Amino acid sequence: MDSSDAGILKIYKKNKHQGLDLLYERYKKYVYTIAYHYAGNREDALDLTQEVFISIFKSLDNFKVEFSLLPWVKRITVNKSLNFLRDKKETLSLDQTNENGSSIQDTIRSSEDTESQLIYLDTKQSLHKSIKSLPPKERMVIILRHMKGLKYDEIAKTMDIPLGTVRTLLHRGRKNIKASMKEDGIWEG
Amino acid sequence: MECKLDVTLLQDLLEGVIDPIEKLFVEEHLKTCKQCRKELAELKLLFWDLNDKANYDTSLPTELEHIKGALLEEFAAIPTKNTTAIVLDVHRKNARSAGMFLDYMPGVKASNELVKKGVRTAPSALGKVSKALVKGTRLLLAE
Repeated sequence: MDSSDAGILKIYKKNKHQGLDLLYERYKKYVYTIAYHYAGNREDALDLTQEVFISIFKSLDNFKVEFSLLPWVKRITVNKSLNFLRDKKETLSLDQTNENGSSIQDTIRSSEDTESQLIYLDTKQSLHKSIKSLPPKERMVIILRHMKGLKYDEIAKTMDIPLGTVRTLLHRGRKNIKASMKEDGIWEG
Repeated sequence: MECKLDVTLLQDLLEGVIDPIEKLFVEEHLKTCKQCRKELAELKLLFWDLNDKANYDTSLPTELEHIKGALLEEFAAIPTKNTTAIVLDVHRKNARSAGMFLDYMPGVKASNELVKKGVRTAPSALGKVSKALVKGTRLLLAE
């Protein structure tokens, strides 16, 4: 079966259900892995993936067949991710209490043994943790550059930011990751 | 003595996005600065880990299938047949099966042709009866 972008769009015009099914199958891994490394956990990544595909499915009718779907999918994924955490942040406050009546602030304070747990992190876990703790835009440029292998100008276009900003964000992101991974003792011994 | 070199240049050097003149300058600097050589070695390790695709391996959760199901249902639901359509389909299939034996009965098709020819010349009342007969056989043949 022809599952190229043009092929998918052709099938979509004839059979909407089959076209959307193929499109989802082709891009689910791409979208989910970005969402997962950006959001840092499975639940948020699934919510994000769903949001991205809702947006794609909604506007697919207006998509021109002669263009490639990938840059468009990439852009929607990036935008949705950046907005997702921003929206989430607004609804989450440190003073908010959970069902047991303790605030988020207390929960953070009470986890005293966090540091001793980190000693046993392997490279993959440490990298994941370091990326997760970066500010949103730094995190996104690192994911796009190093996980997805995008070029600097492609990142600038996808995120709609100047090339110089991409460079600065990458510098800062790498510096922070390096410090964090060093702290975890990843490159010692 | 603390080195004053902008360490972001070392990142650019490893990424191959450094300005050629700056590259010459940094390479010269590295020959004499132990601190920057150490920083470069660490950055190399960092780049190795950052670019290692195995570090981003993620298993796809089964929920992704549920999401697909829900989205396809919302955006391109396959029209389901209502009960009447299903009952009619069953009846049509039954009639077709019931008439299948006519395909193998000698003379049925030939007599149909004869009736057709006869109708053209026969009086109208007889014609109507014959037409009904032809229709009936066709229905049984379900063609």
